Order: sequence, then structure tokens, then C-alpha cells
Amino acid sequence: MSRLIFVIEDEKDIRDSLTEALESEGYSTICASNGREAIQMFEGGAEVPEKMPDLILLDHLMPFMNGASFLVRAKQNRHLADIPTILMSADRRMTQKAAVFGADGYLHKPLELDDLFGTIEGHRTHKNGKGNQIL
Amino acid sequence: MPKLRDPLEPSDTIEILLVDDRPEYLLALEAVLAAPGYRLIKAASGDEALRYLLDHDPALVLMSDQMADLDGYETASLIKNTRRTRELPIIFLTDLKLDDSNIQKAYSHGAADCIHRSLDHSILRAKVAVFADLARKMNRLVQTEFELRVNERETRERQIAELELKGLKRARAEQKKYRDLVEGIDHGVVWTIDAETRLTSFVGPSTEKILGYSTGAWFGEADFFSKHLCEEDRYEFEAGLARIVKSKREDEFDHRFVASNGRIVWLRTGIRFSRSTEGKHVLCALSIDISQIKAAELALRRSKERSDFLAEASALLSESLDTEKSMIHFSRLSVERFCEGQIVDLIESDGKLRTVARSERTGDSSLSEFVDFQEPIRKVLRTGNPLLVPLLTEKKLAEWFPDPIALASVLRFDPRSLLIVAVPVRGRYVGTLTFISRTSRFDTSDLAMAEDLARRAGSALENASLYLQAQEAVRARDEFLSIASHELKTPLTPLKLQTQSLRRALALGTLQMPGSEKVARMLDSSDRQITRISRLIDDLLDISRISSGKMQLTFEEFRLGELFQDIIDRFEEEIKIARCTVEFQCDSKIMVCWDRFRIEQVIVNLLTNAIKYGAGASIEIHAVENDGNVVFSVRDHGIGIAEADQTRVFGRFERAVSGTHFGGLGLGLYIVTQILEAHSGTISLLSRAGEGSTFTVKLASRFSIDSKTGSAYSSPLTTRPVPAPPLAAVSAMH
Repeated sequence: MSRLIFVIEDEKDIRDSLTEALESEGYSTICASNGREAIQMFEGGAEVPEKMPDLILLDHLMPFMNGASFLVRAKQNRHLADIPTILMSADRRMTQKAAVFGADGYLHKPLELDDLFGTIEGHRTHKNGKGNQIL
Repeated sequence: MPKLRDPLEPSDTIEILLVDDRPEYLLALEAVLAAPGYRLIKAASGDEALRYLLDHDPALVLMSDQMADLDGYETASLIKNTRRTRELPIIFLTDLKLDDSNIQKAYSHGAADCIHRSLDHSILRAKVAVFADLARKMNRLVQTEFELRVNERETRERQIAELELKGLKRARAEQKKYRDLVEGIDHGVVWTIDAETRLTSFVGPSTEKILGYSTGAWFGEADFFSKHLCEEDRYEFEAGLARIVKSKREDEFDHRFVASNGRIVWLRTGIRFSRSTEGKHVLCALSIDISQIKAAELALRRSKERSDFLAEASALLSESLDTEKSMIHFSRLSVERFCEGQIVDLIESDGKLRTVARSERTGDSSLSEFVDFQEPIRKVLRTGNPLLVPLLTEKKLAEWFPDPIALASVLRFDPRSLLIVAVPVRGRYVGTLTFISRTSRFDTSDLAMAEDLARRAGSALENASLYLQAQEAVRARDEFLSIASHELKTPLTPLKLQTQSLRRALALGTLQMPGSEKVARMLDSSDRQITRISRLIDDLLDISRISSGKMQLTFEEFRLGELFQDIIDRFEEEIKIARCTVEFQCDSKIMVCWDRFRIEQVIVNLLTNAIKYGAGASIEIHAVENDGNVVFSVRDHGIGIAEADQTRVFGRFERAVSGTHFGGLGLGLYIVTQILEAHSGTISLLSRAGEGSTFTVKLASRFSIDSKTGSAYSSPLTTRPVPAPPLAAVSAMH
């Protein structure tokens, strides 16, 4: 079963090229165009996707809810709290801030595919070790 | 000693006494001797001669030796035996033969000479002349001696008189000096009292001038002086007096005296214990008016206290950039050092006046929030003129506090004097400092100090505000850098992902030739990214041009409707992606003469904002021309802009939505504003949070250079440099 990557990115072109690159590498993807939309997908009452994401790729600067706010909200969401989340930003200062915001990793934009796949492979399990089985 | 002659009597006439009892002889002798300068006195007997001599002093006696009764010798003896006439020369005239015995007899009876009657007359005259001359000389000697004596006596008398006069004068001068000293002391009052009865025995006339009491007022009442001292100083003064009496020494006191008109006079009184001529104990005092010295000392002390207070207050005000905290500290210091109540009111950013500090002196707790001098404070703020009320009346307070609860509260605090000054910042008044005194009256020097404080408070507020602005500018710059890097890299990210995907597939040997549809999509995406980067770079260049005043306008005539339609068509894809619709209304006849490229920028900015924030709802664009003015508006129904952010969004690097990001550098509306300003146009915003926004642009359909540049009209294709805007953020033009 391919791993499911949850891409949260407001820029459609980035979102599209990112999912394309991930899918060509064998990953499955689901997307949200900002933090608010992403949270809404997993909140009570919403129809939660059948399969839970294995990892979240999270943009920081987004409308309605930015990456940092999403991380805070995700911690309070039973579905999202344990999913490793990688923060993506074009601002180098976020390298340090990512951990403070509660992200599990950081990727600098523009993304290098090797870094992207390496980081994804580095987070193969859920943070509490109870993640999906790896093939 | 001969009797002193009258110095006025002519002494050169010689008196000669002729004595003979024979008249014919007397006559003959008179005839012989008669000459100027002689006065011949005739005596007919010795007896007559003696009588004459009782009260006359002839110079010479010519006397017959032979006379009846008293003869010449007997007469001569009597003359010689009389003390007064002992020296009187006598010449005997004789009929006898002149032998030795006769001459001897004559001399023995005191004669100076003895002449025979038959002697030649000229010899007789010569002999008489010798005696006369002798007598004259004698007379002169006597006269000279007399004059000498008289002179001597007069000199002595004069000297004595002079000495007496001098002594008198000296005594008088001494007396006068003493009197002048006592009476002439106009800066002090000399007074003496009996040490036992304490009754006044003397007081100088200056009492009237200095203390207002006549000299008469001092008498008849014991302890007049100390009874009129200020209550606070009396005990110490009385104790001092008792010490002086006991020690019989002297001492000095500074104390206050209540003058007859109630004025307080500061006196320095020196008191000495003394004994009067009658043997009584007296206290002699000199009270000098030192009111001016004390006033100067007080002024100096107050001035020092004030400068200390000012220095401390300044330090406090500039100590912290937390304005409110500074004002609270300042207010507390004011009530410790200057007055009993202090209130600081400042105008908030919403234009409302708010009390930021309120202090009362320790121990007081009655300066409640009711004690709020709103009415006078607003007047001071409006005019900028300070308010000094030296003495607050209940009537005035009732006027300011119509609410009885508030008035009661104020009266409980019992303010006596009030001082309100406006706090100036760059010619505006941003608040007030209110000082309330319960004990003393504020005066003009207090006012000057309060104004100084207000200026310092104004500087402190300005500094804090400038610091916040600087901080805000730094924050905005940092945020801009963060956003700029995000915005510039955002279009690069898909480009890079695409190139890397291809490269990776190539390296793995998994590259398959994509279908033409996919290629077209990839090329569209790449195009969008390149256009986007290009637009970002243009924006940054525009900002740079605006900042340096290098933005040039090139005017041309075009149809506004065509420009709008062209732009809407160009953004069709974005509009579709954002799930928006555009409703466009414009009179196709509207011709304008503007800088087409720049106005296009304005429209593009407004439209992309509407797409970005429009929340997928409809966007309405309207344009109309009226009286040579074109008004066009772009309206969306998206997230809207809160009232508080509506001015800010027109600034550089500003966007209303903080904490989230809708893309863009935050420069769009700033550039729009600058372009419209260069066209002498305006932009206004009507919006409410959650209800969408309407941006309305208004500008003359044909751009004409405004009156500032002097030229009336610019023809098509005229270029015009746009002045650099001031550094301060540009405010929105509503």
C-alpha cells in the first residue's frame, strides 16, 4: 500500500507540481489549499478520509490559517496530532522556528526533490510508533 | 601797677600839674609852657594839688617849693607816700639859691629835679619836654601793654569760646548721630522693654513703616512685641527672652510678626540685656525686617526643589518607553514633591480622552474617579492655553460638576487651587496634566514649571511613539523580507519541481514522453510562474522608482472600457481558478488621457485583490464619466477589511490580514495610491469585515497638471516626473 502524503499548500501550481512529483515516486496524495481547509477535513462532523495520511507537507504562508496556526490546531485534533508534519517555507529563518511551532521537519523552498523524498523516507512511522504498516 | 587807661583816649596830650599859691606865678608858668601837646592844670595850693591827684594822673608836676600852709616839700612827700602817685615825677621851682642842701632836700622829698625860677625859659621848656616825652613813652608802653593784655585776653577768650563751641558741636553731633542711628534705622525697629514688667520703654519711629503700629501702640501693654508674633514662633521667642534675662547676655532670633494689616513680616531680632541709668534691668532689641531675605531664601529653596523635581520627572518620563507606566510614575512623583493631587489624561488613538494616571498624596484616598475635571481639561486641549485657578470656589466647582455625587466627591477632596496644562507633541495637544493643591495656591511660577513638565512629557510621548514607529518599521521590513522571499520563491518552486522531476526520471530511465495536453499544461504553468516573477520584479522596481522620485508618467488617449475588458480577459484563468465571476459595466465612449500603463497597474492591482480576497463571489466593476471626471469602482464580496485596518492597507508592505498570507508583497495598494496621486486622483475604500470591499477611484478624464506645477494642461504623450513621497506612510485618501 502506498504511503499517503497530505499536501497543504495555497499555491495551486506548487500543489500540482508537488503532487505530480510525489505520485510519480509512488506516493498517494490528498490536498488542502490552506490550514483552515485542512483542519476542516478532519474535524468532528466532517467525513474523515478513509485512509489517514502518513505524513503532512505543510506550507507556512497561507491565507485563512497559516502553517504555524495549523500545527497548534492539529495538536488538538485526534486524527492529526500524531502525524509527522514537515513545514515548508522560503524564509530561511523558519529553519529554526519550525521546531518551535511543533513541526517534525523542515524543507526549504524551492524544494529539492532528493531532500523531499529523503525527508519523507526519514519519517516512515507515526510519532508514537503506532502508524500504518510499512510495506 | 598803674590803672589801665582807656585805650581810646589820646595819649599824646600830656597833662602837667602846675602848683603855686601865687596866681601870677601860675600864670607866668602857664604862659611859658603853653604849647600844643600839653594840657596845663593849675592848682593854687598843695592841698588842691593833692585833691586833683586823687582821681587824675598827670604826667608831671611843677610845684613851687614855698607855699603857705602845705609847702612844696610836704606836698611832695604826701604825693610820694601815696601808692598811686609814687612814680609821678615832680620838679620843684624855687626862688632860693640852688645850693647842694636845697637840691639835696628836694631830692630827699622825691623831686626829680629842682629848677630856679630865673632859669631860662627855654631850658625849663626843654626839661619839661624831656619829662613829657618820657611820659609819652611811658604812656605808649602802658598802652601797648594794655593792648597786649587785651589781645591776649581776647585770644584766650576766643580760644575758650572756640573750644566750648567745638565741644558743644561735638556733643550735639554725637547726640544727633545717636538719634539718627536709632530713628534712621528704617529697615529695623529699635525697642526696649523693662525686663521685669515687660512694658515698652522706647520704640523707634520705624515701627510705623515696618510693622504698621504707631509708637503709641507699644506703650501701656506688657509684652506688646511677643504678643504680635506668629503663633508658631511665640513659644520659642519667649523661651529665648527668658534665657537672655537669666544669662544677662544677648541672643538673636528669626521669627514672624503679624503686622497691623495682618501681613506676615519676617524679623531678625537681636536682644541684649542691659541696665538703665536708673538701675533698672532692660532688654534692648533691634528687629530687622528680613522678609525679602526670607522670600529670596524661600524662592531659592523652591527653585531648587523645583529643579530637582523637574530633573527627576524628566528622568522618569524618559526612563521607559512604556508611556503609561512612565505617566503613572510621574504622577506619583508629582504628589510627593509638588501638589496633593495629579491626573494625566491622554488622547487615545481612537480620539477618546482617557485618564492614564491618577495620584494623591500618601494618606489621601479621596481623589476618586469622580474628581475628573473634564470640562476645563477639554477647554485646555481645545485651545492649548493652560488653566491656572489660584483659588477654586465652590461656585466654580458646582459649574464644572453638575452631578451632585461628583460634586460631593470633589468637595470631599477639598481642592484649593488648580493647574491644567496641555501636553504638546509637534504642535498638537495630545493630553493634559492636571495638578491639584489642597494647601497652597498655584502661581505663575508653578504654571511655568507645569508647562515645562508638559513639554517634557510631550517629548517623552513623542520619543516613545517614534520608538514604536521605528520598531514597527523594523517589524514591517522583516515581514516584508520574509514575504518577499516567499513571493519570489513561490513561482520558482513549481518550476524547479518540474525540472527536477524530469531530471530524476531521466536519471532513473523512467522518462516517458508526455502527451501534448500535459506539455501544454506544464508550459502554461511555467508561463504563469515567469509572469508572476516578472510582475513581482516590476512592483519592486516601481517602489524603488517611487522612493527615488523617478517614476515617469507618459500620457496618451485611450478608451477606458477597452482597457478594462483587456485586463478582465487576461485574468480569465485566475478568475476561474478563484471561482469568481466578474460583472463589468462601462460606457464604451469614455475617452481618457492618462498614463495607460500605470492606470492598467491600478486596475490590475484592484482586480487581483478582489480575486484574492473575494472568496469566490462576484466581482463588480463599474466606470462612469461625469463633468470631466471619471469614477470607477471595483467591488468584491469577500473577507472585507476591518475599520481599524482601512488606512493601513494603503501603506508600504501593509496588508490587512496578519498572521495569514494571501500572496503578494503588500505593495499593491501603495503603488496604486502613488500612481493616482501622480494623476491628481483619489482612491477611497468602503468596507466592513466579512462583507467585502469597494475601492473607488476618481480622477479627471484628461489629466491636467495641478496648480502646483503652474502648467494648465498636458497634451497626450506628455511625460511628467512624479515627486518622491514623504518617508512617512501614505495615508489613504478617502
